[in-house]
Amino acid sequence: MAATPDAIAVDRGTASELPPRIVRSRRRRRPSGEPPPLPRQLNTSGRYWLALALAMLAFSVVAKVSTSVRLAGAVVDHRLLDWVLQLRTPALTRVTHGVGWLATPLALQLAWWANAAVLLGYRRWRHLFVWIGSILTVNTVVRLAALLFQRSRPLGIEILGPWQGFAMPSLPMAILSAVLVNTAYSLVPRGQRRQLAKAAAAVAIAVAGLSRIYLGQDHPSDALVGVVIGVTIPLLAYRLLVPGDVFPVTYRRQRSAHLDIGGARGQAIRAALQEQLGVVPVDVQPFGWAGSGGSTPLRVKIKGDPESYLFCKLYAANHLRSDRWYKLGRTLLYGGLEDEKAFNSVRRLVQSEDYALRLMQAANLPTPEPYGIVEITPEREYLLVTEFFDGAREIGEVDVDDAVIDQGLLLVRRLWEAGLAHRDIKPANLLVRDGRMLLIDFSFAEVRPSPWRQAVDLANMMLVLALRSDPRKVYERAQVFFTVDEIAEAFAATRGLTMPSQLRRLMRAQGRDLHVEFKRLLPYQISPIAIQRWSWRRVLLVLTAVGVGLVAVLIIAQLLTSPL
Amino acid sequence: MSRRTATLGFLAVLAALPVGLTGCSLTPAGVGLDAACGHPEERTRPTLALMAQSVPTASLIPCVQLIPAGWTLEEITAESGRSTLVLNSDRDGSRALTVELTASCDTTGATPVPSDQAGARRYERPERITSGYVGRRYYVYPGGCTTYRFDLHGASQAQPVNEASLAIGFTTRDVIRTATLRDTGGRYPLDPPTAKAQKP
Repeated sequence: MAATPDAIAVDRGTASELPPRIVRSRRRRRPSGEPPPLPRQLNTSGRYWLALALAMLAFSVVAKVSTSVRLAGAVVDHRLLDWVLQLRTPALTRVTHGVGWLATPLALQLAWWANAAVLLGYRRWRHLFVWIGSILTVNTVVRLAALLFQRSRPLGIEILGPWQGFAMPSLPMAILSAVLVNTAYSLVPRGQRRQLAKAAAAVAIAVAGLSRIYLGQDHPSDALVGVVIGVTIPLLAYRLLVPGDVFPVTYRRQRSAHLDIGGARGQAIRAALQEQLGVVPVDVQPFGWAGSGGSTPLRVKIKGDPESYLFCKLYAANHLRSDRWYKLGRTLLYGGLEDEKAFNSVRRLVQSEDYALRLMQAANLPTPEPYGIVEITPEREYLLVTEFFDGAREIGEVDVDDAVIDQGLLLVRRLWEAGLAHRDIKPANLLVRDGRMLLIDFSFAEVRPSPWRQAVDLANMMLVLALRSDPRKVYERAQVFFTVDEIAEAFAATRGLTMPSQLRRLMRAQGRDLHVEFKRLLPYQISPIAIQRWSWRRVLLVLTAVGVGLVAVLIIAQLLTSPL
Repeated sequence: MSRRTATLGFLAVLAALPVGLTGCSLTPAGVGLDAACGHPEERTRPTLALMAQSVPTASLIPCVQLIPAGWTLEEITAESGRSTLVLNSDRDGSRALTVELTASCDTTGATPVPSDQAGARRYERPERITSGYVGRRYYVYPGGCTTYRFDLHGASQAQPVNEASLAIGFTTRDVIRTATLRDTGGRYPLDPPTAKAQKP
């Protein structure tokens, strides 16, 4: 093996400086108490509903304890009832019976099935779980409240419609309200359409409520309290657990990882970059979305002479959850490939990648200059800002000559020496500009990786290089930087899962099994290194997953019945 | 604790209530439902008022008289058109006695027997008398019918049937009307002015 060159030549200016001749803006520290660029929103309506629900709860408790307050409430209820009952006619009774169908078990069950079908079809799992959880919660709260208040049906009047149990709160009105709110927030995209949906829901609720009052099934206050409970609980659940900024309702075919960067978020990104990095953003555009799935990559044009670009990766809670599910899935299927733990916050996720990038820089690897982390919403959304390699192209689009091959192999050698692993070496993460190879995307990077992981990096690099050249040439050049043992180990460690999916796809598209071709070049082969790792943790996880699956099946069977 | 954690914890508690409560006592006594026959001058029992509303014509409403040892009141439900009381027995199984109040019932095939309830005719229809007792008893009275469904799986027959019978009594609609009017300060009667409930 030839002596390893000291470093890969990297054309880089002063470390950690923003591009030259940009227009600078004064950085501004956000004082305590001031909202962040994109604050978490319960929104005004959410606060009003919560306040109303709490006020009603307080009044109900007082009414339960105090006879005079209870009687006063009954007087008001009956006055309203008497007024409505004056309108009773046989024709109107027939109409209200028909209208009241909205709040029947069958109608609500059909609405539930329709919602579930759409949510399952579009794989909006979070919306589905919140849908189910909020309905269960509304059901439980209303039933408990009914047992607490034990209010009879309207006294002294002829009740013309079916009813069940105590009157306060009205369970059908609560469930109807919850179903309509869930439908609006999980099926209807934000904006004017959702406003229309909410208006339609309000009309439906009002009509159903009036019909139940007309038919004598509920007191006006029973229906009102039921509506408030049925609206407040799912509304809060959606605002807090499925915020529209992070989990938008959309019917466009796009990856859930790619967030909408228009509107309030786009403005927040611009403001945050200006305040926290001191740059003046001119334009923010999606970049490279076709090849990305773990973040929302952006290219930001910043003011300067000439104007230049920054590369930003927007991370949010949905990326964090995807990371968790991805790692859980891998652990269940293959055991912990590394000793990897899911991140428990977006902040940590971003910090980890920023740290990895800075380690790569310190190891003098051809990586973009890091410019820091920008906070969009505390604990929820962050931007990782780096240099943008303007003019660079993916390695899959350029001619791969000996110089590029050498640079790729040397890059892996340097990673090994620095005690680092990239773990996602694929064409999309290897760029070439003016004949120089550049490495990007460090979301999977690892410090002090296992030897197995280092070997996989080498094999993936050789496979990528061979895609646009020739395995024999790559193998011959590899022997300059690595021993035959190391190369043999690399191809014993790599197969299937350990190759990024883009790499596997491109090999299939070319109709070549480069992995086999490389192994044929080796003078000997090592037995395949097992991917499967068994541990007590994995066994426990598998058993838990099976148990949860069984419980889920039982719950789903129950949930197929009406929410009422 | 972060707001997110607090919010998730609160919602998790709410969502876990259905699961948690199944482990707690959800018997009528456990949740404060009271269908005891009681004394007319005592406070209104909302459960009985609701049962009376479920069958507006019924002149008699079943109520819980005395739960014998070994028996528990499992469930009380009231809905438009019917109400039920369900009792369990530690010797004769769960849902050993179900008492259902309806506006009418089908006594076809049942044998009239002397009634122990004033104002009501009684019918019996045994269905199985080995390995316990399965059968129905009907009390038919003006405006209503109360059906006893026995589903006993113990060794003996006569004793549990007698015990179960003692557990349930009747109160009159007039008593509930009086109590309701009293509790609403004389404002709101139980039934509408055109109510057709008849005297037993």
